[in-house]
Amino acid sequence: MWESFLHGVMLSFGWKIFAMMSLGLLLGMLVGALPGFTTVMAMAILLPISFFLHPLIGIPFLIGVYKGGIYGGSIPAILISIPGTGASVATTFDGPALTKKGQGRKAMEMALYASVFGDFSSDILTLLLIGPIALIALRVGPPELTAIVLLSLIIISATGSGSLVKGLIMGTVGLLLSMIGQDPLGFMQRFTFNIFAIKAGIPLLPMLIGVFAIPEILMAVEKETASYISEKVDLSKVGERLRFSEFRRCFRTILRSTGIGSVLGACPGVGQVVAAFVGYAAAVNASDHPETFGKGELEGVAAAEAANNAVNGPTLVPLLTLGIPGDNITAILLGAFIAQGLRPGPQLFSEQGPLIFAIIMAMIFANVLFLIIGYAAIPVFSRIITIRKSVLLPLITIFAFAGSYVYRSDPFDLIVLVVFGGFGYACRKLHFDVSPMVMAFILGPILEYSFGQTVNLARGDMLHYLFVARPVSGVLFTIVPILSGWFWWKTLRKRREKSRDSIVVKGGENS
Amino acid sequence: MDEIKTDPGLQTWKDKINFNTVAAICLTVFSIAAFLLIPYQIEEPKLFMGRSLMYMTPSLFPRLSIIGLFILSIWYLTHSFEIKEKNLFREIGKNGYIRVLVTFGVTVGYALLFEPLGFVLSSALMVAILTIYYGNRNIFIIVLVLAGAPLGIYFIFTHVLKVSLPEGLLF
Repeated sequence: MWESFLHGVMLSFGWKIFAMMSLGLLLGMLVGALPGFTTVMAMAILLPISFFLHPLIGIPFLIGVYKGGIYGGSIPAILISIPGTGASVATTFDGPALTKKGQGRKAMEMALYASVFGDFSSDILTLLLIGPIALIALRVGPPELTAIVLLSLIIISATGSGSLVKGLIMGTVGLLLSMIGQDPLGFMQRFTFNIFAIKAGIPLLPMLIGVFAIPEILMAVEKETASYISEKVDLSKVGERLRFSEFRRCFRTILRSTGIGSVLGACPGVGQVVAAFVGYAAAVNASDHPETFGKGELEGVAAAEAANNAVNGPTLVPLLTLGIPGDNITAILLGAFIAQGLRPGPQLFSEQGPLIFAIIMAMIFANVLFLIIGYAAIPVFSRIITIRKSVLLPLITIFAFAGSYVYRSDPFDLIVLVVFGGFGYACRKLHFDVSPMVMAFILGPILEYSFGQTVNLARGDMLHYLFVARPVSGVLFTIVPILSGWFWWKTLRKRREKSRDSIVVKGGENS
Repeated sequence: MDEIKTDPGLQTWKDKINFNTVAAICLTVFSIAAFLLIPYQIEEPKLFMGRSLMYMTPSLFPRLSIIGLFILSIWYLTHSFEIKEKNLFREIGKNGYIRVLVTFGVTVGYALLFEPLGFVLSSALMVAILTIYYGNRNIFIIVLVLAGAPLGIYFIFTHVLKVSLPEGLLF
């Protein structure tokens, strides 16, 4: 492990890596700064660029997009109260109020420093933890992997936006979609309807680009406005720069949010949005002057931004060690790994240890570039939010199509892109979260393969094998129904509370 | 009469039906249809000496998933009457619908013409239609986006990333 680490450090020093990471950061900030477009979409349309680069250049490029996108979202959130990405919703609580006070520049700089600090610290934590976790992951066999994948799917489906049952349905739909094509054990044809193009299954990459990029284009054209915002941003009124004393005053909050973001980042399905809200709430609770929050408090911006960026590093831990993506962004990164011929999981560490450490080191170095580019580009990205839709949307469409086509040069992939684009759009309109579907689609074959191996290894005595021969898997399998029952109980309780509230309201109205 | 209708406790089942109920019924029908398709759409492994060599048949997981989907659809159906969600399709408005449908139609056309016309020509056509449709009337910007974007992306993919895009009629 130590040799792999040292080799990885050596590999991570290369001008091409730094150049592509810088480009990724720049593009990520650009898309993040555009209200209405998410980091996930930016990664989806830029994903194909990474296919044809060396993994050590392509993956850091995408990580740059990821980091830049999460930060970029804070710029419109602070200036015009429109979050560029979901992760920066909590930044709108204090950012716009600071802009109104003439402290917009301070808020943007605080967002940058808090983001870089949160990101950097969580990357260091990731580097320290990933080795030991990978060693544990190497001991994970088919039964444990089956239980872990099952648990991850339940958590991702249950913690997504919307109702529990809709999340579980989307997860099951994803599983069914993953079963189209060949079965992973005996390579028998399933649900192909004799269509040659899907004999090997539904291609992952056009599907990812379809569900994440096309719906955003369609949502953007619903309103007949020339650009995303109607207001004009007057940059001469954003005020003076952040002082060191102001940063120092917020440092405890940044540290706290970094801790919160790092812990939540390692949990599947939680993500930046939740981390930002929890970080913000913790800052309000810990503050001596909670009444100032929401009225233009620099600590509020620092809390949300440090927490959402601190998710970035730890979210890679389950992906790299077990091959389980925790959210949409890591699902896209998994797509990039697969396209490069690499399958994240316990074996990847033993086979490609230096590469993995080099990628993590590149992530750490990216934070220095993040600080420089972010600082220099604040005025530029502040203007980008006024870009016209009539120019931007056709460009994104070209990128989405070109990217979907180049991987296999198969025009069928464009049909998949359009079909899943339409499906993703309908899902958003009807409050179905596509994340559980995407996760289940990716994890479905792993689940089926590891379950098949477990059945083979059990030789007919499943209970003895799971609970006596592999006690860890027994414990994990016991958690599955307990966790499912807990989520169900939580939904029932919420429903009862709602109906009780409506009775109270009705009673009040009657009296 | 109106007061009775707005009281949730006295609503008839017709008033309680919403898009979630319809979606749940569709999913229930889909899961039944998918289950019935299993014998026709899933190959079973050949038997050796009258016995299967595999512990797990290829139809086991699809069967379990479809049964799971059926159970969840029934749960969703019963729960659908209580879900208070807005059907966001209803909030788009007529013009918005037209813009979404035109955009989606253009993307479908783009997908179909991508190979026959080639990347540059089909992209230029798509960009021209969409940018003008979205209200761009500046000839300079239209020409710049129409020619610059497809040629620029073509150059990046074919010369920088060294991958092929369909050449079609022009390239």
